[in-house]
Amino acid sequence: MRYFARRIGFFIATLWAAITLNFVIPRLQPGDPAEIMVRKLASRGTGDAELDPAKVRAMRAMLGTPEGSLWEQYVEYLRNLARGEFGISFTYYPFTVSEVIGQALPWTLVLAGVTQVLSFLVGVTLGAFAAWRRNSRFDSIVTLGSTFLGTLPQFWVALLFLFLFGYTLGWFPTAGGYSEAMPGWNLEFIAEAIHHSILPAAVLMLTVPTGWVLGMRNTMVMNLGEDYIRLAKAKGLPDRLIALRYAARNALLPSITGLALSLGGIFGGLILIEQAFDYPGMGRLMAEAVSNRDFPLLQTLMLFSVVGVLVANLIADMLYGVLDPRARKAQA
Amino acid sequence: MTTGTTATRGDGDTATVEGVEPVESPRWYAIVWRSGKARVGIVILAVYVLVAVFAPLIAPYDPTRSDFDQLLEPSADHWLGTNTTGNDIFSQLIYGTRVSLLVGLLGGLLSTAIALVVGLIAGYTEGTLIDEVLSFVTNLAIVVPALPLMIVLVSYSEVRGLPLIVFVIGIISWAGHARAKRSQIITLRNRDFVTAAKFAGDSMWRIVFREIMPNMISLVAAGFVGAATGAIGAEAGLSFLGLGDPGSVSWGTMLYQAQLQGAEAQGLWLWLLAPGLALSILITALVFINFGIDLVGNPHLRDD
Amino acid sequence: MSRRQRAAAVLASLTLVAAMTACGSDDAAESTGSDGMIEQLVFPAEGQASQGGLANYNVFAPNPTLWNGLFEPLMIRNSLTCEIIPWLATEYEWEGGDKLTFTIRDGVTWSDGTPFTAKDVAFTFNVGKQYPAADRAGLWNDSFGAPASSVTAEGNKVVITFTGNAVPKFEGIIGVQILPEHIYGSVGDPTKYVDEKGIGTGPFKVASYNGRRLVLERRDDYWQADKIKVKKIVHEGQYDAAQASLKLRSGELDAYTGEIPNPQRSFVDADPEKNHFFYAPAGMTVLTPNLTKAPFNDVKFREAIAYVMNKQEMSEKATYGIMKPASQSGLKLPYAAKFLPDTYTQEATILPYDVAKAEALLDAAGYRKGPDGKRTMPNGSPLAITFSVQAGWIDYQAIADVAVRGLNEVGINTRLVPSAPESVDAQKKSGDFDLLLEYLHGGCDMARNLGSKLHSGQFPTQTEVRSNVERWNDPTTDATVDKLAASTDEAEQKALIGELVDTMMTKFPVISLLYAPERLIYRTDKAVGWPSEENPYVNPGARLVILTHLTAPSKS
Repeated sequence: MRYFARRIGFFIATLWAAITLNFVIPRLQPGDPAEIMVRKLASRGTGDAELDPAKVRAMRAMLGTPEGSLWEQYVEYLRNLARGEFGISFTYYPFTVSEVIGQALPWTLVLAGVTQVLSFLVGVTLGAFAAWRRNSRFDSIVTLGSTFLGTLPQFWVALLFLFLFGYTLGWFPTAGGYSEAMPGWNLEFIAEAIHHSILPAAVLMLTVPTGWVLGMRNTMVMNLGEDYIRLAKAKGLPDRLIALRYAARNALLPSITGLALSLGGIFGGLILIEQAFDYPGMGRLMAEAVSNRDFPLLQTLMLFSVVGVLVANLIADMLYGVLDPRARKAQA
Repeated sequence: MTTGTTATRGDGDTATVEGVEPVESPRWYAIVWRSGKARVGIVILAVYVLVAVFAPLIAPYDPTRSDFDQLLEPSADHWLGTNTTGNDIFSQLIYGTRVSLLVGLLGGLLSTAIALVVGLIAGYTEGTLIDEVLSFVTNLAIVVPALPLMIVLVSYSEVRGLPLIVFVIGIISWAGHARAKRSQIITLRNRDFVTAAKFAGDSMWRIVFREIMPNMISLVAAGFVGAATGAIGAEAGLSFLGLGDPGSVSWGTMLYQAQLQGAEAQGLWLWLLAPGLALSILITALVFINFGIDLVGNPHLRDD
Repeated sequence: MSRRQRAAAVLASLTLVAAMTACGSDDAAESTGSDGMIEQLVFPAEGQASQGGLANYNVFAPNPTLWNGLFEPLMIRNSLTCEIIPWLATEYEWEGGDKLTFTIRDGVTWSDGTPFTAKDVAFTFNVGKQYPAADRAGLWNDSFGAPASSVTAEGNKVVITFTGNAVPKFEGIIGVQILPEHIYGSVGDPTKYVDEKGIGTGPFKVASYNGRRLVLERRDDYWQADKIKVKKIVHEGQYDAAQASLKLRSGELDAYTGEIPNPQRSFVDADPEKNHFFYAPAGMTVLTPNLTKAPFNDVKFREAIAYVMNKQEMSEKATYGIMKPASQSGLKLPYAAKFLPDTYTQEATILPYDVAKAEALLDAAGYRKGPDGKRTMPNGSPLAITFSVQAGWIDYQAIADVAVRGLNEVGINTRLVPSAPESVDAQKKSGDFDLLLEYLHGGCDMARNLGSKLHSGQFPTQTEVRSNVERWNDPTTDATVDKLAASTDEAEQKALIGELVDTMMTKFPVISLLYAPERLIYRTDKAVGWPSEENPYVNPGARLVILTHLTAPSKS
């Protein structure tokens, strides 16, 4: 019990500290949102352009200047947070931050969520087989292959895939989460969405499973050397049973908490992938928010990311407490 | 009296076995070298280090020299051609090794150093206020989203140089390692030799750094290699996002430039492929080396 | 006939019939094609990437779903020829510098059928008085001249009176997009209004938007519908340079106005018949020294370094040879040649790269070379210059690189320091810099462009970047610019501009480097009539004007 109580306590304290950091960090960045916005509109992103002072003035009037000292703004921020009001985005004025995030969130959740889970399953399975068939050719190929693939820079692979499969071969669409269909629960949209997400998902599936493969393999190898496995073998239990029910299951433990953590991290979005594929997800939104000094949006995005990771952390710790009695005992 | 041998297990326990021929316990570097993968990794790393050290001799030109014609095809004068600004791509690739290795080394060191200090103290003082505070800070560091933090840190500094990059990488990445070190030290702390040292009256610092740490070497080493690997990748990522040091030439800045100039659309494949491959091969080599180091700490893997 | 044979025969005849009908409908397509109609053009999306279902056609939004095509301004300035094209207003007239009257066009309707009147124009301007955020032209404050005192609609005219001289406000005023009073009149603060319909006077109306793909369809009741030959416009996707050129090449995109490095190689070479680009000069990049600091406060030093700028190499490295070296007069030549005083020829105002001349000038001015080959100040103290450039702005970086090389070539110890754009902005505001690159707008209102670059009232402040970054401070110049700002007489304007040109050519407050482009990269397989090098009838950014010139290619 103490174990769980401590975990929850940590969660709350870290959450508060993270919220405070989320408030401070965007404001540390130099740059005036109104000027940046006007310059972007004037130059359409190509660098320098005339900064029309009349437009800057109007933009400032629109975005509003924060009232009060930094501390008062902070208190106001906390109060609004408690009410669930995240403010109005600068970039997408007059839409609220909630509305804007609501647009991007499903895309990231689906792409990142599905690929994380799939990567986990593929990686863990491969790792388990590799451990079971230690030193075989299969093992070598899996270990070496996934290691190398995991080192490839994701943005680089994305560029190559885009050019090869998208433009040259024309097998997949090269931009967007969808194209002509109307979003909603209709077949056309879902089909388009899937078609558009295959390339980005492929890039992820190529580079992500590596962690799971190696982690699972090494843990399982370690477990396979343990005494209880030797005992099981001595008892004459079939190899398959030993592998699945004992070695793999126990080796899965650290990996599952790892999965929980990585799922928590998906709220940060996959910015490089999304940028390469013009995919409307959270990563892209965060990049926009940072470059526009869109404080309300950025704060909330960072909050999502932080809460995601913290909650995942909490769940992982709880899970570990449930699944591994030794952990609970150690803390008591 | 029976003859016997003392066999040493990796964690310092000993056992006497009767009637067995004496076997020398392998030294750690022999263990690492025995692993085929690690051997390959070490060789590749050595090549990279040599290239970095002798870069001025190997590269035909100064990498920032931009008075060549742009977009030259590969030729005897320019093995990989020139890029859109008129730099020699091959020279840039060679000199880029320096930056990547340097950032990897220093970034890894900084990250490992912070993680070591924080993790060791937290782990050793487990349960006390110091541990609570340090663990709290560690969790916070893990949880804060990296991208905005990186951008703010980089943009806050007037001058963008390699020290800034190393600093940013160190700040972003120490937390994960700290956690691992903390757990490790918690397990070690309860071992007999530590209890003995405590009874002998050794101070905490002495116990931590003289007794516990030597037993953590393999974990620390693996952690360092991992941190260095992460640092190399982080530098590439940072540069690709445009946050790198524009004054230096690294594989990350090469990829960044290539992408800005629309290299795919212009068909400039060598410019895109070369730095990416150089990165991947180096990181793979480091990961292989880590396999070998894992063997030292995890004897069960040694039969490979 | 067996069953199978009969089925085959039916199938064959059906296919034949289908083929014939297809041929028939091809003929039908031919006939619509022959009257010049274009079925559909595809442009990139104008709203920002993550817009999704948040459609907002309100032009006050920082990210409206669409900029061009729904709403229209009073008049359009062709920034190449500087002629003013009447649009929703047919005429304008200044009485003194403080009363401006527009005659509003008849026969215009909003896309929901409501007639367009002068009242809509008056409303659009008056709403900015109540809500400053809606005052993008700065009509009611002192930007670019005295604030307005009233805007009234009188019949088919709109009269704007000011409290003082407001001639420089003109460019901003004619560019304001006119809003429908019957829709925006009842929403309170128009900047907070989410406009989901986009009812405007423009040539197109919204047909559908699914969160990513915006389809516009042509309005038959548009006031110059006979000139609009495009039936549908699709806006979809946000692309960077490489993606855009690939999409253009494959025909999935018909035009693009963003930056594509090396468009010749990335795009045109793939199909020179159909693929084109037009990079019209919009302004120029100028080398900006800090005139409050030695040695930049010495006009002889400035003159010398002007000859060390290898503009040809800058053109190649930064723009692949597309943008030409700029004239030191500060004028956008040859388009603005009419403003050039007769004492200069166009060619003479473009300074050559002449190292020998630079060295001679530097020696004569007292900046001698020391034993290490580096020049020192006249009093012997060392000379070390820092050149700040925005990291990530590849064209600026390329230009700066060449500039720094040139300076070092004549022994001036210069170091290039790439920094974040915000840092460079901060340096502009604080005045703490040596050399940097700046933009000189090439628009038609000289008082606002060249004038404000040289006016001492335009020094950047602690919070705002303004035009006179170099801090040129000369009362004579100020007087000239002030007179120019109040002038509506062409001859007088030419004379005053001539004085500014003299200042540029003899005193070198800033040093012109390259023209900066306004881009149009386009295909001619579905539409012709785009502005081009051969036919630069308007600048690439004037989308409305271009739409009235596009027709289908003739079938030959």
